[in-house]
Amino acid sequence: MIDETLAWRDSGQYSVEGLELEAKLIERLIARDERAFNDLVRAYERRVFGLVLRMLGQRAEAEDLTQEVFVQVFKAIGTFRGESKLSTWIYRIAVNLCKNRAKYLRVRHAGEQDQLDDVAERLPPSQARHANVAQVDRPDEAVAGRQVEEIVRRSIAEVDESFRECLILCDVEELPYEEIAEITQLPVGTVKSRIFRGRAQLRELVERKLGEKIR
Amino acid sequence: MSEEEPEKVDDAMRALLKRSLEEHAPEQPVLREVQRKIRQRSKGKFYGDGWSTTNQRVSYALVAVMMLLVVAIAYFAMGPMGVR
Repeated sequence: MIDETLAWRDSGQYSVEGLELEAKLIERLIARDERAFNDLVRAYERRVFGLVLRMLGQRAEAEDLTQEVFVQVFKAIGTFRGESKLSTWIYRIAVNLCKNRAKYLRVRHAGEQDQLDDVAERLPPSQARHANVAQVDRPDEAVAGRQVEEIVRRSIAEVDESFRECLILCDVEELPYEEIAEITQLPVGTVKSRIFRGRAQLRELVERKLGEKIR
Repeated sequence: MSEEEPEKVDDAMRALLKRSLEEHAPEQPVLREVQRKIRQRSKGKFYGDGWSTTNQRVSYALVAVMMLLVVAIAYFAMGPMGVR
Protein backbone atom coordinates (compact mmCIF):
# COMPACT_ATOMS: atom_id res chain seq x y z
CA MET A 1 0.00 0.00 0.00
CA ILE A 2 2.78 2.39 0.83
CA ASP A 3 4.22 2.02 -2.67
CA GLU A 4 0.89 3.17 -4.09
CA THR A 5 0.85 6.07 -1.65
CA LEU A 6 4.35 7.09 -2.71
CA ALA A 7 3.54 6.72 -6.39
CA TRP A 8 0.58 9.02 -5.87
CA ARG A 9 2.66 11.54 -3.98
CA ASP A 10 5.45 11.49 -6.57
CA SER A 11 2.99 12.01 -9.39
CA GLY A 12 1.97 15.25 -7.68
CA GLN A 13 -1.72 14.43 -8.15
CA TYR A 14 -3.85 15.08 -5.12
CA SER A 15 -6.55 12.54 -5.90
CA VAL A 16 -9.19 11.34 -3.45
CA GLU A 17 -7.78 7.83 -3.84
CA GLY A 18 -4.30 9.02 -2.94
CA LEU A 19 -5.55 10.86 0.11
CA GLU A 20 -7.45 7.76 1.22
CA LEU A 21 -4.34 5.60 0.81
CA GLU A 22 -2.27 7.97 2.89
CA ALA A 23 -5.03 8.22 5.51
CA LYS A 24 -5.13 4.41 5.82
CA LEU A 25 -1.37 4.26 6.19
CA ILE A 26 -1.47 6.96 8.88
CA GLU A 27 -4.21 5.07 10.72
CA ARG A 28 -2.03 1.97 10.77
CA LEU A 29 0.95 3.99 11.94
CA ILE A 30 -1.04 5.63 14.74
CA ALA A 31 -2.25 2.17 15.78
CA ARG A 32 1.46 1.33 16.17
CA ASP A 33 1.41 -1.24 13.38
CA GLU A 34 5.09 -2.15 13.33
CA ARG A 35 4.87 -3.61 9.82
CA ALA A 36 3.41 -0.39 8.47
CA PHE A 37 6.24 1.46 10.13
CA ASN A 38 8.79 -0.91 8.58
CA ASP A 39 7.31 -0.11 5.17
CA LEU A 40 7.45 3.60 5.92
CA VAL A 41 11.14 3.44 6.86
CA ARG A 42 12.00 1.44 3.73
CA ALA A 43 10.06 3.87 1.55
CA TYR A 44 11.54 7.06 2.97
CA GLU A 45 15.03 6.10 4.15
CA ARG A 46 16.87 7.20 1.00
CA ARG A 47 15.01 10.51 0.75
CA VAL A 48 15.52 11.35 4.40
CA PHE A 49 19.17 10.29 4.34
CA GLY A 50 19.75 12.34 1.18
CA LEU A 51 18.26 15.44 2.75
CA VAL A 52 20.09 15.01 6.05
CA LEU A 53 23.43 14.33 4.34
CA ARG A 54 23.03 17.45 2.22
CA MET A 55 22.16 19.54 5.25
CA LEU A 56 24.94 18.23 7.51
CA GLY A 57 27.59 17.26 4.96
CA GLN A 58 28.90 14.43 7.17
CA ARG A 59 28.03 10.84 6.35
CA ALA A 60 28.37 9.30 9.82
CA GLU A 61 26.32 12.07 11.42
CA ALA A 62 23.76 11.81 8.62
CA GLU A 63 23.37 8.05 9.11
CA ASP A 64 22.81 8.47 12.84
CA LEU A 65 20.43 11.38 12.38
CA THR A 66 18.40 9.53 9.74
CA GLN A 67 17.74 6.83 12.32
CA GLU A 68 16.77 9.50 14.87
CA VAL A 69 14.31 11.02 12.40
CA PHE A 70 12.44 7.72 12.13
CA VAL A 71 12.53 7.16 15.88
CA GLN A 72 10.96 10.63 16.28
CA VAL A 73 8.39 9.82 13.59
CA PHE A 74 7.47 6.64 15.47
CA LYS A 75 7.20 8.53 18.77
CA ALA A 76 5.25 11.49 17.42
CA ILE A 77 2.97 9.90 14.82
CA GLY A 78 0.07 10.18 17.27
CA THR A 79 0.36 13.97 17.12
CA PHE A 80 0.18 14.08 13.31
CA ARG A 81 -3.00 16.00 12.49
CA GLY A 82 -3.02 15.40 8.76
CA GLU A 83 -2.88 19.12 8.01
CA SER A 84 0.03 18.50 5.66
CA LYS A 85 1.23 15.55 3.62
CA LEU A 86 2.95 12.82 5.60
CA SER A 87 6.17 13.39 3.62
CA THR A 88 6.09 17.11 4.49
CA TRP A 89 5.71 16.25 8.16
CA ILE A 90 8.62 13.79 8.02
CA TYR A 91 10.77 16.37 6.22
CA ARG A 92 9.88 18.93 8.90
CA ILE A 93 11.11 16.57 11.62
CA ALA A 94 14.29 15.93 9.61
CA VAL A 95 14.98 19.65 9.09
CA ASN A 96 14.42 20.45 12.78
CA LEU A 97 16.68 17.63 13.93
CA CYS A 98 19.32 18.76 11.41
CA LYS A 99 19.25 22.27 12.87
CA ASN A 100 19.74 20.95 16.40
CA ARG A 101 22.50 18.58 15.34
CA ALA A 102 24.27 21.29 13.32
CA LYS A 103 24.20 23.57 16.36
CA TYR A 104 25.62 20.79 18.52
CA LEU A 105 28.35 20.02 15.98
CA ARG A 106 29.25 23.70 15.70
CA VAL A 107 29.80 23.91 19.44
CA ARG A 108 31.72 20.63 19.51
CA HIS A 109 33.98 21.56 16.62
CA ALA A 110 34.40 25.23 17.52
CA GLY A 111 38.01 26.23 17.03
CA GLU A 112 38.93 23.11 15.11
CA GLN A 113 40.95 23.78 12.03
CA ASP A 114 39.52 22.91 8.66
CA GLN A 115 41.39 19.79 7.63
CA LEU A 116 40.49 19.85 3.98
CA ASP A 117 43.04 21.11 1.50
CA ASP A 118 42.27 24.22 -0.42
CA VAL A 119 41.14 22.60 -3.60
CA ALA A 120 41.12 25.83 -5.53
CA GLU A 121 44.89 26.14 -5.20
CA ARG A 122 45.38 23.03 -7.28
CA LEU A 123 42.82 23.96 -9.85
CA PRO A 124 43.09 26.23 -12.88
CA PRO A 125 39.72 28.05 -12.61
CA SER A 126 38.89 28.25 -16.29
CA GLN A 127 39.52 24.54 -16.71
CA ALA A 128 37.38 23.68 -13.73
CA ARG A 129 34.47 25.85 -14.77
CA HIS A 130 34.63 24.53 -18.31
CA ALA A 131 34.68 20.95 -17.07
CA ASN A 132 31.36 21.42 -15.34
CA VAL A 133 29.37 23.19 -17.97
CA ALA A 134 30.59 21.16 -20.92
CA GLN A 135 30.51 17.48 -21.77
CA VAL A 136 33.34 15.85 -19.86
CA ASP A 137 35.19 13.38 -22.02
CA ARG A 138 38.76 13.84 -20.85
CA PRO A 139 40.02 12.38 -17.55
CA ASP A 140 41.73 15.65 -16.56
CA GLU A 141 38.47 17.52 -17.13
CA ALA A 142 36.57 14.91 -15.13
CA VAL A 143 38.98 15.42 -12.23
CA ALA A 144 38.56 19.18 -12.54
CA GLY A 145 34.79 18.70 -12.57
CA ARG A 146 34.94 16.69 -9.38
CA GLN A 147 37.09 19.39 -7.81
CA VAL A 148 34.50 22.02 -8.67
CA GLU A 149 31.82 19.83 -7.14
CA GLU A 150 33.96 19.56 -4.01
CA ILE A 151 34.20 23.36 -3.96
CA VAL A 152 30.41 23.59 -4.20
CA ARG A 153 29.99 21.04 -1.38
CA ARG A 154 32.34 23.03 0.83
CA SER A 155 30.71 26.30 -0.14
CA ILE A 156 27.16 25.13 0.61
CA ALA A 157 28.34 24.20 4.11
CA GLU A 158 29.41 27.83 4.57
CA VAL A 159 26.11 29.32 3.41
CA ASP A 160 24.02 30.77 6.23
CA GLU A 161 22.06 27.89 7.76
CA SER A 162 18.63 29.47 7.35
CA PHE A 163 19.32 30.11 3.64
CA ARG A 164 20.90 26.70 3.14
CA GLU A 165 17.89 24.67 4.25
CA CYS A 166 15.56 26.56 1.87
CA LEU A 167 18.09 26.37 -0.96
CA ILE A 168 18.57 22.61 -0.61
CA LEU A 169 14.83 21.94 -0.33
CA CYS A 170 14.22 24.01 -3.46
CA ASP A 171 17.17 23.41 -5.79
CA VAL A 172 18.17 19.88 -4.80
CA GLU A 173 15.00 18.28 -3.43
CA GLU A 174 12.97 20.25 -6.00
CA LEU A 175 10.06 20.90 -3.63
CA PRO A 176 7.54 23.65 -4.40
CA TYR A 177 7.71 26.91 -2.39
CA GLU A 178 4.46 26.09 -0.56
CA GLU A 179 5.78 22.77 0.70
CA ILE A 180 9.08 24.33 1.77
CA ALA A 181 7.05 26.92 3.67
CA GLU A 182 5.19 24.10 5.47
CA ILE A 183 8.40 22.25 6.28
CA THR A 184 10.26 25.28 7.57
CA GLN A 185 7.11 26.90 9.01
CA LEU A 186 7.94 30.17 7.30
CA PRO A 187 5.79 32.40 5.07
CA VAL A 188 6.17 31.68 1.34
CA GLY A 189 7.62 35.16 0.76
CA THR A 190 10.36 34.54 3.32
CA VAL A 191 11.14 31.18 1.71
CA LYS A 192 11.54 32.82 -1.71
CA SER A 193 13.73 35.55 -0.29
CA ARG A 194 15.94 33.04 1.55
CA ILE A 195 16.35 30.95 -1.60
CA PHE A 196 17.34 34.05 -3.58
CA ARG A 197 19.81 35.19 -0.93
CA GLY A 198 21.14 31.66 -0.45
CA ARG A 199 21.84 31.33 -4.17
CA ALA A 200 23.62 34.67 -4.20
CA GLN A 201 25.71 33.73 -1.17
CA LEU A 202 26.60 30.33 -2.64
CA ARG A 203 27.57 31.87 -5.97
CA GLU A 204 29.79 34.40 -4.23
CA LEU A 205 31.50 31.68 -2.17
CA VAL A 206 32.06 29.42 -5.20
CA GLU A 207 33.35 32.29 -7.32
CA ARG A 208 35.73 33.37 -4.58
CA LYS A 209 37.12 29.82 -4.30
CA LEU A 210 37.31 29.38 -8.08
CA GLY A 211 38.83 32.80 -8.53
CA GLU A 212 36.51 33.76 -11.37
CA LYS A 213 32.90 34.56 -12.20
CA ILE A 214 30.39 31.88 -13.05
CA ARG A 215 28.75 32.53 -16.42
CA MET B 1 25.33 41.97 -18.26
CA SER B 2 22.02 41.48 -20.09
CA GLU B 3 18.71 40.82 -18.30
CA GLU B 4 18.78 37.13 -19.19
CA GLU B 5 22.21 36.54 -17.71
CA PRO B 6 21.30 36.46 -13.98
CA GLU B 7 18.71 33.80 -14.78
CA LYS B 8 21.28 31.79 -16.74
CA VAL B 9 23.73 32.03 -13.86
CA ASP B 10 20.98 30.90 -11.45
CA ASP B 11 20.26 27.90 -13.68
CA ALA B 12 23.95 27.05 -13.89
CA MET B 13 24.31 27.32 -10.11
CA ARG B 14 21.21 25.17 -9.57
CA ALA B 15 22.53 22.46 -11.92
CA LEU B 16 25.96 22.57 -10.32
CA LEU B 17 24.51 22.37 -6.81
CA LYS B 18 22.28 19.43 -7.71
CA ARG B 19 25.15 17.57 -9.33
CA SER B 20 27.51 18.27 -6.43
CA LEU B 21 25.03 17.03 -3.85
CA GLU B 22 24.05 13.87 -5.67
CA GLU B 23 22.12 11.24 -3.77
CA HIS B 24 23.91 8.61 -1.74
CA ALA B 25 22.47 5.56 -0.05
CA PRO B 26 23.08 5.02 3.67
CA GLU B 27 25.75 2.41 4.39
CA GLN B 28 24.21 1.14 7.62
CA PRO B 29 20.87 -0.68 7.46
CA VAL B 30 18.52 2.08 8.62
CA LEU B 31 15.52 -0.09 9.46
CA ARG B 32 17.41 -2.51 11.71
CA GLU B 33 19.03 0.32 13.64
CA VAL B 34 15.71 2.19 13.98
CA GLN B 35 14.04 -0.98 15.27
CA ARG B 36 16.88 -1.50 17.75
CA LYS B 37 16.63 2.07 19.04
CA ILE B 38 12.85 1.90 19.39
CA ARG B 39 13.09 -1.47 21.16
CA GLN B 40 15.71 -0.10 23.58
CA ARG B 41 13.91 3.16 24.32
CA SER B 42 10.49 1.53 24.72
CA LYS B 43 12.09 -1.11 26.98
CA GLY B 44 10.92 -3.87 24.67
CA LYS B 45 7.34 -2.68 24.24
CA PHE B 46 7.82 -2.23 20.51
CA TYR B 47 9.84 -4.46 18.20
CA GLY B 48 10.28 -6.81 21.11
CA ASP B 49 9.66 -10.01 19.16
CA GLY B 50 11.06 -11.60 16.06
CA TRP B 51 7.85 -11.14 14.10
CA SER B 52 8.01 -7.41 13.70
CA THR B 53 11.71 -7.22 12.96
CA THR B 54 11.90 -9.73 10.14
CA ASN B 55 11.13 -8.96 6.54
CA GLN B 56 8.94 -12.02 6.18
CA ARG B 57 5.33 -11.52 5.21
CA VAL B 58 4.02 -14.69 6.91
CA SER B 59 1.04 -13.72 9.03
CA TYR B 60 0.17 -14.93 12.51
CA ALA B 61 -3.05 -16.47 11.15
CA LEU B 62 -1.26 -18.53 8.53
CA VAL B 63 1.22 -19.93 11.04
CA ALA B 64 -1.64 -20.68 13.48
CA VAL B 65 -3.53 -22.64 10.79
CA MET B 66 -0.37 -24.56 9.86
CA MET B 67 0.27 -25.46 13.50
CA LEU B 68 -3.32 -26.69 13.88
CA LEU B 69 -2.84 -28.85 10.82
CA VAL B 70 0.38 -30.32 12.21
CA VAL B 71 -1.30 -31.04 15.56
CA ALA B 72 -4.29 -32.64 13.81
CA ILE B 73 -2.04 -34.86 11.66
CA ALA B 74 -0.01 -35.86 14.72
CA TYR B 75 -3.22 -36.63 16.63
CA PHE B 76 -4.59 -38.85 13.91
CA ALA B 77 -1.23 -40.49 13.34
CA MET B 78 -0.91 -41.43 17.01
CA GLY B 79 -4.63 -41.86 17.78
CA PRO B 80 -7.34 -44.24 16.52
CA MET B 81 -6.14 -44.08 12.89
CA GLY B 82 -2.49 -44.27 13.89
CA VAL B 83 0.15 -46.51 12.39
CA ARG B 84 0.80 -49.56 14.63
